[in-house]
Amino acid sequence: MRFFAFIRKELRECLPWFLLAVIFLLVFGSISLYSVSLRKELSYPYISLDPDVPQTPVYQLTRGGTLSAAAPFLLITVVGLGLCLGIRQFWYPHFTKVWDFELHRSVNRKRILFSKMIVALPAFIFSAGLLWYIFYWYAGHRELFMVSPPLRHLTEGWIITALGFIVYLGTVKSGLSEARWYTTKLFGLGFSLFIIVVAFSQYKIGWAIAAIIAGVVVFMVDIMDTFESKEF
Amino acid sequence: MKPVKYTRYIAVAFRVAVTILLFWFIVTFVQVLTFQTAYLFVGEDTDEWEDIFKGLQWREHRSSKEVLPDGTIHLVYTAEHSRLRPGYNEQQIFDVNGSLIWEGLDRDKPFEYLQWAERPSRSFYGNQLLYMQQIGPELSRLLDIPVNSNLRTEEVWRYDVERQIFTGYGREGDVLGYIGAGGFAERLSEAVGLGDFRLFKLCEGTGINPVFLWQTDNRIYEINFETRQVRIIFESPTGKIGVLRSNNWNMKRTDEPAGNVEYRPMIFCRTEDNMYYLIMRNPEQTVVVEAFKNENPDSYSLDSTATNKGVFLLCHKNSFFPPPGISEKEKERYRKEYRQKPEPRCLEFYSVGGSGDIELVSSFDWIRPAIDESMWQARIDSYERYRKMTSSVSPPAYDLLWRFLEDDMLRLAKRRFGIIRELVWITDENQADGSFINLFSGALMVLFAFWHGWSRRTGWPRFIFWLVFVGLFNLAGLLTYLALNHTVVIKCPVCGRRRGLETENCIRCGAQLPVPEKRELDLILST
Repeated sequence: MRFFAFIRKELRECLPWFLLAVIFLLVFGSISLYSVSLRKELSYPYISLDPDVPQTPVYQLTRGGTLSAAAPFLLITVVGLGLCLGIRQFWYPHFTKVWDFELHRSVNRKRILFSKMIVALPAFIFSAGLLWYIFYWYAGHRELFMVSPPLRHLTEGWIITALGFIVYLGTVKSGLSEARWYTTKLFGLGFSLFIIVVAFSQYKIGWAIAAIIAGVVVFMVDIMDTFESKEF
Repeated sequence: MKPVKYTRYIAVAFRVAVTILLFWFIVTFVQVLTFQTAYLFVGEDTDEWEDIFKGLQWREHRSSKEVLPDGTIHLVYTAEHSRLRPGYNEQQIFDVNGSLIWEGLDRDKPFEYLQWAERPSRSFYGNQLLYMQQIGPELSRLLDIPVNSNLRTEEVWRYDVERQIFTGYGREGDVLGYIGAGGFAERLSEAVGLGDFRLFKLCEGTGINPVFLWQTDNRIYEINFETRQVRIIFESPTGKIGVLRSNNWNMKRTDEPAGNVEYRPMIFCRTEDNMYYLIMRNPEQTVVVEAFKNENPDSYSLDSTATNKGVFLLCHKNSFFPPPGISEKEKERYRKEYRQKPEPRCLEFYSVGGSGDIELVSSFDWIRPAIDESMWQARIDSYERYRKMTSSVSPPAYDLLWRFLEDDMLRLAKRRFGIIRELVWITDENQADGSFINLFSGALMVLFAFWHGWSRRTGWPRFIFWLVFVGLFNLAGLLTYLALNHTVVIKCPVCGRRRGLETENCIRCGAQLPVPEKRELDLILST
C-alpha cells in the first residue's frame, strides 16, 4: 500500500508536466499536420528533363513524409519532458519537500526509486507515444493526404519517444551525482546526448533500438547503484 | 558474495566506461580544434610547385591525351587553369613526336576529339539512399517518384527499401500496384525485388516524365513509371557491377549533335571479375570484352565510346604493380616510394569488334618524371609538427589498436559513412606513432596518478588497474581517474602520513580511523 501511495504522490506531482507535454504536442503537431494537408496539391515538383522545363535536382526526389513536419515537435516534447521530470524528481532534494516526505517512511530505497520511474515511463508512453500513434492514424486518411506515411515512421516516432526517456535517465543520473557542475555532474546528460547521436546516425532501425537498450541498461544499473549508496 | 555486490561491480564498470568515453570525446575535440586552428596558418606554395612542374617531360605528362576518330593521338597542353591569371584556357596542341600543331584558345581549336563515357552526372547513389534512411529530427526521408501531367501530380511511386520495389499511389491515395524486377504487378505477392540499389539516373522519356536508369548489384533496369514498364538492359552473369559509365544514354534526343561525330547511346560497365560490357543502342548491341580479365586492376584504367563509325576503347596503363595480398597501409607506402621514381606510362587506343575482340589502332608512350616530394615537404613538416604537438596527449591505445588490428580498422574505415568511420579516422589522425613527447606526457600522467593514488589506495589490484588505465588513455585516462577517485585525505594520527578515508584502517600502519575523544558532557558515549 505504501508503494502505491508513493506512486499516487509522484503521479500527482508530475501530472502538470504530462499535461503540458500533451497540450504542446497536440497543438503544434496538429497545426503542422493540418498545414501539410493544405499543401497536398503542391507537394511534388516537376522532374522533367525537357530543356524548357526547369529541372529538379535528383536529391529533391527524396522527401520527408507526412509526419515529418510534426516530428521535431515530438522531439522537443520528449526531451523537454525528460528534463522536467528528471529535475523535478531527482535534481533538487528539497524541491517541494521531495526527500523529506520519502526518506522518513519505512520503505526501502528501491521502492522510492521505482515509484518515480514507474510514473515517468508511462508519462512518455501516453503523452508522446500514444499521441504519435494518433498522428499516424490521422495521416493515413486518404481524403486528406495523398500518400499514407510508412509504418517505419510510426516506429521512428517511438524511437524518438524512447530517446526522451534516455534524456530523463541522463537527467536523473546527473541529478544524483554529487560532483560539481563544472566537473562530471553533467556527464549523465552528456551520455544521453551521445546515445541520441548514435541512434540518429543509424539507417537500420534495429541498430537504433540496440543503442537505446544499451543506454537504458547502462543508466539503470548506474542509477540504482548510486541511489542505493547515496547519502541523503 | 551477495548478488548486490555483482550489481555494484557492473555499475562501477559502466561508470568508468561512460566517463572515459566522454572525457575521450572532450580531449579529442580539443585536439582536433587545436590542430585545425594551427594548420590554418600554414601557407600555400603553389607558385613554387608550378616552377617544378615546368619542363618537357612534365608537359608531356600533364597534357591531356586526346584521340581523333581516326585514332590519331594529340597532346593538349593547357598552361593556365585559373581564370584569375593571364593565359587562361590558352592551349598548345602537340603530336606524339612533340611537334607543335596548333596554338590558341580552347574554343577555337580545329579538332573534334572523341568523347568518352563518363560517370553518370546528376545521379543518386547507394550511399545517398543510406543517408536518406537515417532517423533524424524530421524522421527518415522517402524516395517518391511523381508522375505528373501538365497541371498536377497524377501518381506517386514510393520506393520500399526493405522489399526493393515501388508502390504506386493514385491521387485519392488508392494503391495502383507495384513495380519490381518482373515489371508491374497488381498484388504485392506478385512483385519481385529489384535488387540491392546502387544508383539511378534520370533520362528523357517518351512522355513528359523522365525514365529512370536504375542500377542494382547485378542488373541495370530502365523504369518508365508513366507507362509502368520495366526493362532489364543488362544483367551481369557473374560478378557484381563495379563501375558504370554512360555516354549519350537517352530514350530520345531532341537536340542535334554538337559536332560531326555521331555517338551511339552507350553504357559501359566493369564487373568485379574484371569483365567489360558495352551496351549500345542504334542498333541494340552488347559487346563483352574479356581481353583485360587477367590484368592487375591497379595498373590500368579504361575509357570507352561508340560512334556510328565504330566502338573504341582507350587504355591508360601505368607500371604500378604492388605485391598481391598486402594491406592498404603497405600499399600506400609502396605507392609513395613508387611516385619518387620516373615511371613509364602508356596510352593505347583500340578498336572493338562485334565479338569483343580488340585491335590496337595507335599508342603513345611517355615517362612520368619522378615526383620530388621536397616541394611539399615544408607543408608535410608543418603538418607533422602540429600533429605531434596535438597527439602528445593521445591515448597510446591508438597505437596498439592500429598495430594489431590494422586490417579490421581499415575495413571499418571503408564503410560508406557513419559514426564508426569518423571515429576510426580520428584514431588514425591522432596516433602518436610512439613519439617521445607522447611517451613522456604519458609517463608524467602515470606518475601523477601514482602520487595521487598512493595515499588513497585501498588495495593493490585497484591501484595497479588505475595506473595501467592512465597509461593506456593518457590525459583522458587521468581525468577519468581523478573524476572517479578523488577523495579527501587526512594525516594519520598514528604514523603521521597521509591516508584516504575509503578504508577503515590506515593503508600504511593499519591503525583505525580516529574516534572523537570522550568529553564530560557526552552522555551517550559515557553510558
